[in-house]
Amino acid sequence: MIVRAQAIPSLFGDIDELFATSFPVVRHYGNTRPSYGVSMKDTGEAIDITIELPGVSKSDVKVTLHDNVLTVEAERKQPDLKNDEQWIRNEIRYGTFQRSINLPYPVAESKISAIHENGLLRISLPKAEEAKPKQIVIR
Amino acid sequence: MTNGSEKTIHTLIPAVDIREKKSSYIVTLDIPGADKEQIKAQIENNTLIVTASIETVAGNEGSAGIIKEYRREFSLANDVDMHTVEAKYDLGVLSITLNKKAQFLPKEISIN
Repeated sequence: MIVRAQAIPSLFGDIDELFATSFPVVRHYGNTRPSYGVSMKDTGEAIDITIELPGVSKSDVKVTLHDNVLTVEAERKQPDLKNDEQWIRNEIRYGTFQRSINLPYPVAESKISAIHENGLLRISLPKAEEAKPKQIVIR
Repeated sequence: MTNGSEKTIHTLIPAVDIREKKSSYIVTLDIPGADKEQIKAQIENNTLIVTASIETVAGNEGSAGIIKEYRREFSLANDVDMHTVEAKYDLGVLSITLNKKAQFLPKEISIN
């Protein structure tokens, strides 16, 4: 007899039967979406970085720039369980997160802006003048 | 879209926490970057279905937009009261409260 150790949710229909059965075990799915996805975009004028930080309060995010390396530190606090509460499933990762990004261009430090909204941290780093693309006039 | 570039669709399974309280279940899903209007939660045939479609607008010329499609389903047991479900979206996290039906709540029996 083959015993499947863990059910793997399909891409389109992850039907969790947890409410339909008893749930003594907290199962972990390996292929759920990892939190803290990072995307980086070169817009020509600026480098735009977006980091997914769901469940993180603004006061728990710290962004620093040093030697053209951008570092983002964040902490996601685990909700406390009260006496009569229990976890049925716990896939979300809590704790601290740190990510350093080596910027590909020098940036204008005084013009950096950061917005934290709906669990996304968006940082726009305008390029320093010398890093911007220049059109050369052909005579 | 610019220059006829195609959109890329990413199908994603949001990470989930489920907490059981005495009188309810709290289902928490990570759906970062959505507007409230982009998230849909519904109950159909005893199944809770959460979907979200988030489109990232293309940036520079020639780059394609990305659509993130989140989807997760949960079959609900018969102790869930389908009529009093509440949901809220904050900091990129969707929290759904599923109350238990009154007859499934623990009752204290008074001793005469």
